[in-house]
Amino acid sequence: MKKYKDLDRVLLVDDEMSTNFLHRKIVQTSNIDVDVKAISSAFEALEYLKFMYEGEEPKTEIKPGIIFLDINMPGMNGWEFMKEYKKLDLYKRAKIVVIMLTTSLNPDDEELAAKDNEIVTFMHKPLTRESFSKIASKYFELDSEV
Amino acid sequence: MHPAADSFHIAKMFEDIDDYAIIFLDREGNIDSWNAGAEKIKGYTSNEVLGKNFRIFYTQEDIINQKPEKMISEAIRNGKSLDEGWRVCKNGLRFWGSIRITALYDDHGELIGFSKITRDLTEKFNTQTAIEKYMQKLEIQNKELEQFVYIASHDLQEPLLTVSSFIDLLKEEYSGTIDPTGEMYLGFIAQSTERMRSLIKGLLDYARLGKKKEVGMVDCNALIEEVKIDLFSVIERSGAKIIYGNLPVVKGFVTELRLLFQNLISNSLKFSKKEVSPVIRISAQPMRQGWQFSVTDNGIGIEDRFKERIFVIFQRLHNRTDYEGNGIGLAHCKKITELHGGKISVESSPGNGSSFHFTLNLL
Repeated sequence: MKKYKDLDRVLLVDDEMSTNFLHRKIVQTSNIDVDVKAISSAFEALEYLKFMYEGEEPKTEIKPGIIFLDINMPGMNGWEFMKEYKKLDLYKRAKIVVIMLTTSLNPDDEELAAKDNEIVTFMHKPLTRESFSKIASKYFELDSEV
Repeated sequence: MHPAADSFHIAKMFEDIDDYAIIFLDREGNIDSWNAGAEKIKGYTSNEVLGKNFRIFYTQEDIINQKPEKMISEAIRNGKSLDEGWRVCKNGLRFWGSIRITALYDDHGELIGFSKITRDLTEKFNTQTAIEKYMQKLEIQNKELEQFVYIASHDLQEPLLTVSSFIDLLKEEYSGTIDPTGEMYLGFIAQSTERMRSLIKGLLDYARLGKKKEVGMVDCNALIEEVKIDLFSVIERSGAKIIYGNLPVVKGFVTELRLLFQNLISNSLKFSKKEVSPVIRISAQPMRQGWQFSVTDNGIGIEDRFKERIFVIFQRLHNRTDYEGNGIGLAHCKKITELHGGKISVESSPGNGSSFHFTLNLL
């Protein structure tokens, strides 16, 4: 079981309950010690992030180190979420890696992602244990291994 | 000047011309003469119109805006006045005309009147309008197709992915309790799901053909070499020979042309006779405009009645167990040749190989 520094929680944002269920399972069985929180709309996710950093005292709520963001969601979609997300204060975004997950086979989406420097990586669904492990080791320092 | 070109014969000639209205106006713009063309285009007989002012041919808006006066002044100022616009016939209907008014002077340089030549361009105007309307319609249809393609790539894929993922989970977590028949069922489900994904991708690719319009000069010889590299393992395994020579450099869409050759060659390799190494010949002939290419093989051939069907997307002629594939390749080839202003067809008979002929005619 590996533990990465500053990676205490993974935030899953997807409107499909089945997808969140799947991805939660993947993360929890990936041999990486990390908490998982799933939110089913982009709007709720923004509210959650705003709430996390409001006020002076540090919150007891665990901060997410990675956000896996679905592109195709009803109402506010992944792209629109990013627009709003960027408006949040910079320090809130400091140590969060945002990864856009998509079923899209459309190369145009990939181009859009490449242009947006807030999105660190653009990945195809479904999330797998290997791809999650790769992301964790790429962006975070290993703290301990048991 | 021709001996017959005296004023009598010239006047006769003007009278007879019936596709141009050629009339003479006095200095005030009153109609002095009339010809067959004027009667045909404007509807009045000469009796009905002689002495009247040429203002009667103009629309209400033009009269309010003093168009007739302006044209006369211009004719006096510049010698002539030209216009294209709506004019009115005897029955009140409008026609789209091309008008030329020329100022006429006598030997002393005195203005004696004007000549007015009118041509009916209504047909040209209608065709122009029809073309514009059609183009608008095409634009709308194009946008709809783009939307459809985007939807296909997202919304249709998601549920499929969910099915695949949960089949995997089922297998992982319940393998102990599922018997071989159950496993087989799960296998069929997974297979169908994968096929669906593949079909959707094929449809998406088909719709996107030619979207990124990168036109360039393409060396077909180099292209074939690239395709040979891509298909290296299949060529090796089957001992295939690909023969070509002196193919031209053509103007076209690079990526699409490569796909065109790749699909045809790949098909020839796939539909080869068992125990016979494929031999594929590629040649090109110049035409009056563009080139005609031929890709000929010694494969299993195609029945005459399927000659057109094979170019329709998702149409297959064989069982999946005999030959794999989704029936997309030739549909792509057809779209690509059409993108290049050409056509594609096949000459073939069962057991005697096939020759695919296509033209590239991009100017």
